[in-house]
Amino acid sequence: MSTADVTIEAVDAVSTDLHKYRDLTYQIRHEYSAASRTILDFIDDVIRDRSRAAVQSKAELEHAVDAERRANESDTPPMYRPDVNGALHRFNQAESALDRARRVREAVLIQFRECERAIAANASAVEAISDAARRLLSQKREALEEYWAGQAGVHGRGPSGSAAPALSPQLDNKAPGIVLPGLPPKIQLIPLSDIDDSDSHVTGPESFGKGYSPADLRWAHEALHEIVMPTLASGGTLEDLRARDAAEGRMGVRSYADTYSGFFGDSAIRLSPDLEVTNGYHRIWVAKQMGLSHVPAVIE
Amino acid sequence: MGYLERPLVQLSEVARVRQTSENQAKILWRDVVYTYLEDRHLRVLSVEEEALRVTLQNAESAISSALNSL
Repeated sequence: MSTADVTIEAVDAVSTDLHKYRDLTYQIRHEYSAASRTILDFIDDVIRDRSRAAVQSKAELEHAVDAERRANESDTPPMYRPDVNGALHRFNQAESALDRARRVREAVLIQFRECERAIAANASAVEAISDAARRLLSQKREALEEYWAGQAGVHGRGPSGSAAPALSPQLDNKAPGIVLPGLPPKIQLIPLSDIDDSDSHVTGPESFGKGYSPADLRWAHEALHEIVMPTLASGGTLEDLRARDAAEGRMGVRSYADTYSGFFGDSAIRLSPDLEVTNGYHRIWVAKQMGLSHVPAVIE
Repeated sequence: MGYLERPLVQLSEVARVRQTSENQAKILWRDVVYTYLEDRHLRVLSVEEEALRVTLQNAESAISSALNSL
C-alpha cells in the first residue's frame, strides 16, 4: 500500500467516523427518551398507587367519623367504637406520600427539561460542526485525487495532470512513512506500529536518567504536534520557535527550539531501513504511552 | 445502575468515535486538515460532549436523590 493510499484512506476514515459520530449523537436522544420514559412511568405508577391509597384512607376516615357520630348520638353504648384518630393518621400519611410523589415528579421533570435542552443544543452543534468538517474533508480528498492524477503522469502511470495543490502532502512512494515538506527532508512520520523496538532497554520510568523525565518527553511530543510542526507547516522556522520560547520564557528541555533540535537534529529518532530503532527508544516508549500513531524519524 | 446510564454510555461511545477520528486526522497532519479539524471541529465536539456529560450526570444525581425521597 502506498503512502498516498494511506492518506486518502485516512480522509475517508475520518469522514466515515464523523458520519458515525453524528448518527451516534442522534441515538443519545433515543436512549435518553427511553430512559426518561421509564423513570416517568415508574413515578406515575407510584402516584397512581398512592392516589388509590389516599382515596381509600379518606373513605375509611369518613366511615370512622360517621360511625363515631352515630355512636355519640345513640342512647346505647356501641358494640364497636371506631378508631377515628388511627384513620386520620393513615389518611394524613397517604396524602403526604401522594404529595411527596407529585413533588418528585415535578423535580424530575425540571431535570428532564434541562437534559432535553442540553441534548438539543449538542445535536445542533454536532450537526453544524460535522457538516463543516465533511465539506472540508471532501475538498481535501478532491485535492489529493487531483494531486495523484498529476503524480501518475510523473511516474508513467497515466496522463500527466495538474500540479500538486498547495496544501497536499508531498508523498514519496518509496518512503515507509509520510514525508512532510515543512520539515527537514530526511524526516518522515513513521507509524509507531511499524517500528521494531523489540530490543528496547526502556521498560518504564525507571529507565530514564539522562537529564529528562517521561513527563519532559511527553511535553516535547505535545509541543511537537501542537506548536512546532504547525509552525513549520505554515512557513515558520527555528528562529520563530526561538522567538516564541523567549516570549513565553521557555528554555531547556521544555522549549520549542529544543523540541525542534531533539526531533529533527542530530539526536532525531533514527531507524534502520527495516525500521529497527537505532536511536530514540525513550521517545518511542513515551509516544506509545501517549497513544500517538506516528513519530518523526530519520531512516538510514 | 444509574437512571441515565444508557444515554451516558451512548455519550461515551460518541467520544470514542471522536477520538478515533482525531487519531485518523493526525495522519493528515501535513495537510493542515488535522490542525483545522482539531481546532475548529474536534475540539469543539469534545467541549460539547463534556457539557452534555456534565448535564446528564447532574440530572442523574438529582433524579436519584428525588426518587430516593419517594
